[in-house]
Amino acid sequence: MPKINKFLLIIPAEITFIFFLLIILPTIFLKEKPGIFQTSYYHILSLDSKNNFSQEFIADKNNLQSVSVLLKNPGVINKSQIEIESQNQDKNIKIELQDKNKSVLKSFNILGVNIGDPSWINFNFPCFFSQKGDKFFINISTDSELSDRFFVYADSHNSINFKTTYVSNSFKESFKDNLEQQINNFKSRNVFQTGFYLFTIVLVNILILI
Amino acid sequence: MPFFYHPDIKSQHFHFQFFSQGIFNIYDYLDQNKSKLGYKDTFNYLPLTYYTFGLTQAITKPFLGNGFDKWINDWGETRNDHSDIIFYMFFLKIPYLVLDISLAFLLLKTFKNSKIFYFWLFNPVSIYLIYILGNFDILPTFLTLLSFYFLKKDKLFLSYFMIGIAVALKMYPLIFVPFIFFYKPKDILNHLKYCWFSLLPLIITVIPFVTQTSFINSFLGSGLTQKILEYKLFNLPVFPVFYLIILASYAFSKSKQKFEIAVTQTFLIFIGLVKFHPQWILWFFPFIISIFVNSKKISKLFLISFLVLIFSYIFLFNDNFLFWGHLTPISSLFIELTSPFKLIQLRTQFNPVVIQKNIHNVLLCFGIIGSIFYAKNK
Repeated sequence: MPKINKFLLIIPAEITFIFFLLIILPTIFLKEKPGIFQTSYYHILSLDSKNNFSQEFIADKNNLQSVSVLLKNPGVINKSQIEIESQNQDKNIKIELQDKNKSVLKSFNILGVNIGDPSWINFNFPCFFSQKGDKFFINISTDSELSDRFFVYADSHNSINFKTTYVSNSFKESFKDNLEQQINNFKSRNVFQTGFYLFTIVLVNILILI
Repeated sequence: MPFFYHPDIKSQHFHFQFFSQGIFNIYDYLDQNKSKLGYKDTFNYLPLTYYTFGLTQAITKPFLGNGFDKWINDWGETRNDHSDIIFYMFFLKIPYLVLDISLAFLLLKTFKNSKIFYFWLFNPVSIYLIYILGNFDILPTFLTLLSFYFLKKDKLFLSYFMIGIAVALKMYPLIFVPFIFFYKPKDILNHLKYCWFSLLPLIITVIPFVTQTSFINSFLGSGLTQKILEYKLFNLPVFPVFYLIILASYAFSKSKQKFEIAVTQTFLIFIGLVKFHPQWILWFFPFIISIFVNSKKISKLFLISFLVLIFSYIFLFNDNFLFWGHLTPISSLFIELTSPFKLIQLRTQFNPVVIQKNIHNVLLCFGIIGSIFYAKNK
């Protein structure tokens, strides 16, 4: 039997491993896919009964699954018990998801005890049919009259921090989404970083196999 | 290596960053500035570790970009979520890669067996311990093997000095010092002349801190000594007793592989009796590999079963960063997946803590049986 070149064995094995790790594994296990991820710590804005916030966003994928907003409860001062049913409870925060006609799709209430310093407040809901390009609004309001109780983070245009996830309906769709996401991640990476990584991998292979 | 993450690498580098800011007494600095810092935990390692990796970070920092400082100091909700985390994981692990490859070459030079060389580089256990957990234990492990290499070459000063540096980085290589001392009982007088060098680097680096409460409090929080003495029978700590038995049989052994066998025996008992951190397996692993590669099928099967049990034990910790969380650089959504601990809680009537305890008991039984088996071989 002819001797197989070590490089011909190891390089396809490495490519297969990376493909499995970056594409196949998330396709199998991650039903949710990340969407918009808007973070900036430029402004910390007080959230109180006089200062409510509304954030518009356009879905970048089909089938919206969750919306998270970054809220801050300094020192986690508010320790009140959570009462989901009660919308008028003191020091409650109400978050609404509205469609383009501003009719409420989902509504949530949360008390300060569940808000960190800061923490992403995640609202998962059963996936509903929505399409890429649909416009939504996130409204955050509170009945707390104290101005130093809750805060939201925002960028220089006062757009608040939030992130979204979507759900893929099939393996094929999930595979395509993952592939797209990894390609986008790869493109967004610094050329130096990618080049240095590839150079190191090649160097290590040569060092070990020769 | 860039696709895996464990929060330990971040917390360690959070502390190492102060070296490039001109802080030489990390223990006092953390004690005095606790309230201002994002990460409140103490630095539980020795001063030489801080200087070594602080210097390494200071050298590599210009390549890491401005975002690194921001990420390393972010202990809020976005602490494990950064667009460049893949690059940080790659760059911060480059010293480990260098040490990993150097260790493979050192294994080749020590045991003159290419199988051991390839086995070290491509087995999933060392990949997990070095690149997935991303702990710096690879440096003391490398120095321990280097010490053994010099021991085999009869260069006692270098052997004790290398293990001495390893001890000054992390205390655990002290377990191996008696094995070096009794390697050739006929040479004991010669060993007596040099054995002090195994403590010298530790003494030199610790002396400036030894009277400081901040250092004592931080270092006592590391937990190895307590964990070794934790398992007791008739109020007597069991691990030291087993260790002394292994050492006694080692001293009288005439086997050529007696050092590697004794380390493997210590590992088998240690795992069964100590509530170990996963990265601690690495301390023994180069020597276990040399035993594994040269052993018969049944012994190989035994060691594989033992390692499978160890990993079942590790994955049952109620900490998703020891399972799905490792894949955070690929997607931060992995951390949201159900951990094996939660899965057992949700889907079965069993208590994962009890299952984990039972696995540890099985490991203890296996460890004792394996240790007796290797004692016969020795």
